[in-house]
Amino acid sequence: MIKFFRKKREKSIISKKLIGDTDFVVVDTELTGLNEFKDNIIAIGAIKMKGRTIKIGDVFYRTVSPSTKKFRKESIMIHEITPSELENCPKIDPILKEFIEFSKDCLLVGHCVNVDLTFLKREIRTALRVIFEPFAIDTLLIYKWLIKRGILPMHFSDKNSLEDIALSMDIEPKELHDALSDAFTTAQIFQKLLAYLGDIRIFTVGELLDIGSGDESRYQVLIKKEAYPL
Amino acid sequence: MVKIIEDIMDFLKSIPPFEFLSDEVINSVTVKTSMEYYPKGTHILIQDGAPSEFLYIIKKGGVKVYRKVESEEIVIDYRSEGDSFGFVSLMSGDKSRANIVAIDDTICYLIPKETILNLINRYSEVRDFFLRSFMSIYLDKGYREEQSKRAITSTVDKILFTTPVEEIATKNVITVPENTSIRDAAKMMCENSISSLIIIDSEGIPVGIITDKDLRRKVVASARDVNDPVKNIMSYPIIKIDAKDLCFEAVVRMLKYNIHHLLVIKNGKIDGIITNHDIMMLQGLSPITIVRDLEIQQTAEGLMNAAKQMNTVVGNLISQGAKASNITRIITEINDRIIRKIIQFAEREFGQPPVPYCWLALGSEGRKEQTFKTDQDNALIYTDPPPAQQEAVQKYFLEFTAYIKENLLICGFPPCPGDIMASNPKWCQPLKIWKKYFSQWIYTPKGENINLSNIFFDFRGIYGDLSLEENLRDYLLGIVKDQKVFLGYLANLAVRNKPPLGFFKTFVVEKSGEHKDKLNLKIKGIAPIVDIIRLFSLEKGIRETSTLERIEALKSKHTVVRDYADEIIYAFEFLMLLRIKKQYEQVLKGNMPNNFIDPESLSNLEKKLLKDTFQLISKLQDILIERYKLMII
Repeated sequence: MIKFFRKKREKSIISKKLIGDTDFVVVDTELTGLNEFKDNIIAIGAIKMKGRTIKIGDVFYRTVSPSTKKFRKESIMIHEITPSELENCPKIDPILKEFIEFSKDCLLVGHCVNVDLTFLKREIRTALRVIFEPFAIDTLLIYKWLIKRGILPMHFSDKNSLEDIALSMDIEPKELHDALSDAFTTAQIFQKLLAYLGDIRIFTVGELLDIGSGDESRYQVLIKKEAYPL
Repeated sequence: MVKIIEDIMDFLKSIPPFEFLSDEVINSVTVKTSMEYYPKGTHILIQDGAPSEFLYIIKKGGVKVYRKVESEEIVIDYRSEGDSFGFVSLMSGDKSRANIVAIDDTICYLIPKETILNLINRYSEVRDFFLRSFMSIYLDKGYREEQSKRAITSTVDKILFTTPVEEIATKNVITVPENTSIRDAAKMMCENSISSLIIIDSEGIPVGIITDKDLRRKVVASARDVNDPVKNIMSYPIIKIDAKDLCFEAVVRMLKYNIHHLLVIKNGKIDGIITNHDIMMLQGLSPITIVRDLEIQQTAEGLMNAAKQMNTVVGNLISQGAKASNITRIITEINDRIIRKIIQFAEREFGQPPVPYCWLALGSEGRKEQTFKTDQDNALIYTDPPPAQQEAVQKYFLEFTAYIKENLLICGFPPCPGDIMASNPKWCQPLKIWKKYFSQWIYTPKGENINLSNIFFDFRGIYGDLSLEENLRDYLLGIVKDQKVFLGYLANLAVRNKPPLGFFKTFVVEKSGEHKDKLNLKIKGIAPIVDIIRLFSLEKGIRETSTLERIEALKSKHTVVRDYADEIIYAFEFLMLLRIKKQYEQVLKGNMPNNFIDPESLSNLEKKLLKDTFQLISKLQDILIERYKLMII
């Protein structure tokens, strides 16, 4: 309850901020699977933005040794990271700490960011005993909103995967399913989406959160499942 | 290594000046880089706005660099993938000198000022690369400011790149020992009226320099004792340059060390001093060098040698991003002067002509649109002589024109294959015959006559009694205006060559032969525009002969031109520039310049602009067909 109020107050402050002055962390996680309770994070990739500017050098990329032994086969196929590769990787605790430090004072941005957020929250809670509750923005929601507003063409509405959305916006999706490359692709999508929002005079973080807040569970894990046709 | 950084490193590695740097250095640049997206139409830098804080490198898309001068837009350049902008303003810290607008959705990498300055300080390759581009832009600015006033005096020089330092260095150098008092040194400078002294140590080695500035700043302004030795106020170290180095190198060193004097060394000894003032003088004089050179020549061979510099001048203009119309204006001006000189030689050779005459340039020369050496296309009008003298007058002018033809050949102008030259008796005629020719062509427009009209109606007087030219033009414009049939024939000719765009907007190229996979810019692009604009000019009685001047004059008189003027001007400039650039490459390789280009050799931006241009031509041709529908065969 206390936390809830705090967040509400913070929101009223952050809402007035201009998008151009705001620091974002565009994040993508790779997971052992999509089961919220059993699966784990195996890689975190993130890149920073200030407003529309992508900061090429401000990147975060760590691979994690998962606690679960049940490594799902389809995940291996998606990410091409094999369990043996991961065995040499560090434990997740320090990595999560680093990530919290890296994303400090930033808004989280992601493609279907709820999925990443769900896993990050859980892992951080179990590993570090800390509540991780950042503001988060879902690029897919903004994309859909722009279609609804008639700013992006209607025939884009059946696109959900990161790859399809990138291609529809003339962005080359490189090295799909590598956490950092996907974060970079998402950042480029976000960059263009913000340009569209700027055209219709949407400049504040508050407006941005109204359109694309990933905080509420409007979109469930299901979407991400669709997004990765297996 | 992180993949996304690697990708950007690979991109940077492919473009100068980063290609000279090690992976390690490029990596250190990349991590400081940011990436921006500018939707089409975004102004990235604003003329007279805040100085640039970044070097912008275009990853995708393209930008237009332009200046606004008294509400007129002057396009300076187009830049596309791999090109950069923002450097001059970044270096100087001055407000941005031009507007930069994205002409397509554009992605740029932005490298912060500090990172660039660091590279410049540490790596000479980077410094030289940027200074070189900086210098050319700097020269370009001077050029542009001049060009609105006079054509020829605005040719920017190759001189900086070809003149050795020793040619312009001040040879009057006085050295004084380092213990000389400031008072004595100042006295010496006054007595010899020089602005600097070289200070040498006890072994006679130059260790520093004192200038007027040192005296003002370090002595007068700070009330220093004038009995102090000069070594206390000298500027050091003194930067040297070899007498054989090019002036450009001197400029680079002055910029690098932020000084205005360099010591010129020849064979290990002091030979002189070169100052930034000397260099400015050099630039100030240079624009008219060729012209001055031509004026003093007394033989065709001498003219030929002077004319040889033209290719270098054109090359410089191209590299400085001059507009095609400015390049052709300069070429025309120089060619006109060569011809005038040769005509003067002819007058000297054959004595004053029996009656006034006027030498006419035809075709592209008449339109002031010559690129590299083109064929002779000319004619001569003379005042109608009394019948008794007719034969003698004709004989004089035939010898006169034959001499001119031969000497033009010496200067590198090959004869016209169709013999459209003043030396051909048919095209060396009194005014009344010219009027007869013109009326014949207009009243009986068929076959050959139409082609002749297209060549001759761009006539421009370049020497002699220009009232003859005026008289003939009055006559032409008087009779041509309402000749619908004749104009219809011209329209027919103007739509004959369709732009080479296929159904899917692909370029249609030659299918076989010497120019396989290429397209002819002149026939498919330039000629249709020239023909359409000539037709409109004849319709409206416009006296100008150059296509761009005709468009300007037509703006207020012709509805089609009023609607499309800017687009046509832009398309025409673009095609001309593409052709000049291509021809210049050919000339550099020692080949004969032609009009063919391989569309695949163009950048994406150029391809796009070329397609736009062809679509515009197509549209104009459709309008023409509509307007003259009864006449088009």
